[in-house]
Amino acid sequence: MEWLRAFARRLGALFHRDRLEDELADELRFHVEMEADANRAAGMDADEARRAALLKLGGLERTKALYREQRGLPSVESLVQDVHHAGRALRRSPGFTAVAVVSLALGIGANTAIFSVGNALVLRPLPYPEPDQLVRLYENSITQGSYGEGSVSLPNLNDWRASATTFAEMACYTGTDANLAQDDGALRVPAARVEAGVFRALGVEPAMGRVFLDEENTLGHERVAILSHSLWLRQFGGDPAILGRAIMINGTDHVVVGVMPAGFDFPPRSSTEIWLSFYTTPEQPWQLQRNSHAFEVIGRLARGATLAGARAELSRIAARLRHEYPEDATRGVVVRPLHQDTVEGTAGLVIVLGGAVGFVLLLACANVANLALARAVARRRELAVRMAIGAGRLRLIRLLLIESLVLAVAGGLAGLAISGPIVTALLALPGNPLPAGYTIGIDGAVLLYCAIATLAAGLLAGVMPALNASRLSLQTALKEGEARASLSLTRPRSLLAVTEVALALVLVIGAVLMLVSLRRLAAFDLGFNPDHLLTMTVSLPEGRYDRNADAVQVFGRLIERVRAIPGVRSAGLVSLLPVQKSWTNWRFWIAGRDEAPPGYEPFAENRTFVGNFFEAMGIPLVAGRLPTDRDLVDADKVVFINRRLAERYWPGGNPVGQRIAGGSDPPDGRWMTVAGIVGDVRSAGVYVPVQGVMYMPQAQSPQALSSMSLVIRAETDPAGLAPAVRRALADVEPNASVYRVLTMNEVVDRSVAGTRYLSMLLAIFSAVALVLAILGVYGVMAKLVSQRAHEIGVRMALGAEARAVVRLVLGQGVRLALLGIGSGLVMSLSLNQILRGFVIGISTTDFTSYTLAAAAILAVAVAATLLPAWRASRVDPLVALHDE
Amino acid sequence: MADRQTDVLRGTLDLLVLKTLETLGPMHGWGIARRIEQVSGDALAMNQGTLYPALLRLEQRGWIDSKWGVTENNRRARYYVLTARGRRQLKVEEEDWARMSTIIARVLGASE
Repeated sequence: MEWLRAFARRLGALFHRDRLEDELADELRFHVEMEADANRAAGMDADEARRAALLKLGGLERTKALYREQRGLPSVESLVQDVHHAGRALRRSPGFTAVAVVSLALGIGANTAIFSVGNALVLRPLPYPEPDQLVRLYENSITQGSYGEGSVSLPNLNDWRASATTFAEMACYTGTDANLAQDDGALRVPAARVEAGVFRALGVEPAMGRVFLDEENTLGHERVAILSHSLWLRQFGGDPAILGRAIMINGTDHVVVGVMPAGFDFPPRSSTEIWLSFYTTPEQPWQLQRNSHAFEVIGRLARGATLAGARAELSRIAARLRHEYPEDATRGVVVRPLHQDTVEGTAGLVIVLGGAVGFVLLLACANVANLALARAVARRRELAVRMAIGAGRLRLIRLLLIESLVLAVAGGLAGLAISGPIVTALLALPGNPLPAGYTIGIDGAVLLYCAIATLAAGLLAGVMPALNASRLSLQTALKEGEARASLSLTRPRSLLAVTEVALALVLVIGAVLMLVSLRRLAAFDLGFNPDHLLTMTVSLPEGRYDRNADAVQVFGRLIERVRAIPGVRSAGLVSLLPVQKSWTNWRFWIAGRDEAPPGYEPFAENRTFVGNFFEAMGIPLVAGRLPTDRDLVDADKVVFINRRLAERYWPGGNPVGQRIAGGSDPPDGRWMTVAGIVGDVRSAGVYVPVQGVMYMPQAQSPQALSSMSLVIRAETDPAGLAPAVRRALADVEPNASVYRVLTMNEVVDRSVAGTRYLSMLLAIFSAVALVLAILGVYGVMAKLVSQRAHEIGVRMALGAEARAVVRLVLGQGVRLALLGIGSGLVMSLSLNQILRGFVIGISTTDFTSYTLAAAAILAVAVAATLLPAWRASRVDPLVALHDE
Repeated sequence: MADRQTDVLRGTLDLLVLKTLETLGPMHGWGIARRIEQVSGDALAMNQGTLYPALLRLEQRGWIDSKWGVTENNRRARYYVLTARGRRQLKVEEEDWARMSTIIARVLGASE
């Protein structure tokens, strides 16, 4: 406790130094007078008495110094002094200070912004109680010899549930959309069908009412709904009497039983607005088939259970099921933490962006260091004087580091201030793939990160100038002229310029790879012409079209009406538009062939269509025939396959006329005849390799579809047709709804928006990096020329031509650039894996892109050297020599 | 050699100052220095300057207090006085010292 009291007093002493100094002087004066009096009494004369008194005291100033050391906090005092001094020194060179603070502010601000995004979207735990215990469960399977993981079938989930002891809860759900009937038409909102156990697993209580009961997961009790807080406020005005009210969802009445609290979201980051109860119905027998892997599963680990324990137990259960059920012969279980499952995609993006802004900050630091080194030349005398009056080398290093830290702190504060606007800008850029609806703000973690970035930037920018300046020798600095003494400063500056070139190259390579990816995307052959195509999803009211024939009839009438609209060339409906992620990989059988061994069964994507879908999409016929109006339910079943499927399973042969059947069970009586082969389209995504696809007429499908995508090929402008199409649909079925009205080009654009977004950001960052690198190279070369003016003068006096001088300076610049490019290439090659998953259509070590980026950097470096070179060629020998 | 002497002195200076203040009551720095020298029979060649940081240190720890006063020949001087905590501390330090010197004497006696 005593040391604490002592520390407090010493700290207090810092604040009234003047008074304490006076008191000390008085006290010591009194002491000397008393001692001198005593000496005089002993017979000395006045002078001698005083001298002896001072001697005995051990010197007045020395005593004071000793005393001061005990009084205040000497280290703090000199630190405060240094900070004051640094502030004064920086105010004396406002230009340098402004440039340094602005570049550090941009660097630190960008880093803080990206960190705050990552903090909110990746690091922060999910907003459920005890989120670490929540997991997602998937089935994995060996198909065609490769592992894939995906959704779960209900019988398997029920078997897991029955045997697993490491889980407190396991429940399934599926994401969907819901039509909410409003006075002014239908509203389409994201929805989810969930088992009651989902809410138990999440452990979240509703804000009002209750969550689902287990019995509500059975047919006959399923017409209940839970609303999100925001939907309740927006659409029902926050009406407290909403509970028990019936609202029209998907054409039928549902009773609202609960409202979730604000901010509740499940599935994570889906912005779901309505939760409906999950149930099975005999109308859809596939739901209960062991090979219908169609449901998402969430689980909460039992108290005390570990992830590893859960994995071990479930893989034992899966091993048992593999033996018991032939459908499960190739099936396993994957357990993944819900947090990891949720943030994975965002984390990849944040890492790339964080890496890029990290490089920008490093560049900014290098630039500030470069400027500081240039400034050190001018301050040589000041520093030498400080050394002459006794400042040690360490003290000088500290002083210079403090200057750099003062700059960094100013930059860091400004950076913190601009990080908010930077985040806003990041989110506002078109194509932003980050999940919406999250508060990205400044909290303790962000502050800490900003502080660490600031400290690191200050040290990075300061350490080289500090070491360098403190190394200067007293005599040379005080005696010699500027030109000679500063020569020693060019080597570190060159090193910095090389570093800057290298860092910039890494960013430029990243940007070039992304831009090339974008070009590749644009040049990808989609397999159809996306121009003049209008698409929209048409949804029939639920419950009224359970019979497939009824639904197909309405869809058929709709197509007839749409084709009658002026400007429409052709129209068709398809179960899933191309270029969209799909989960419709189905097993199929080929008549006359042996059953494939487990894991090597034939698989194909599966689509159904109504009308002239191929003609409307512009998918060409390769062999056989196109569908006709006679491909109806009572006709012979037909199927159309794409070229990829034909080549894969009938290599060199002709599949037309062959019979195939989908499904896992042996196909008795479900055979379909291949009627035609059509061209390949990018069905699952612009850059997803073409898969084998079978297209079946919806009329012949055993399963009714209430919602399909309408594709309309227009003569000219497709977007203008939308109102007429809506009117046509209203005529055919007034209760149907239309949503996601987009031209095909918009659909394609959206599927590549993430790539475009990242390309744009990397392009911006690398442009900043280029500017910084130009400044760095220019600074070094300009300095070099002014230092060597004398030598250049001599050369010219001896007859060197201006051209030779230019070549000399350019050569130096190119050397710097090449060194930087070399190290930049090494860095890029070692970092290339980061961009995997973002770069499309080319390798992350694509030779052309690397060459292109290196050439661009070289050109920029040469450009930065041109002005100094030109200046060198204009050196007047007379002036240069005279200056010495 | 001189350094070592100072060190020994510095280590015991606190004790000497506290003891002196206990004996004399309120006293100024010069008086304390003078008293220590006299009592020790001028055997302690004290650098009087070291007294003042020591006084400050004791005051910072709350063992002594100080205030300005006037001497009998009308000079302004800073007087130091032992606090209650200082009195307790003196007791502790005296005991420590006694124990230490016994131990050292014993060690020295044993090695002879």
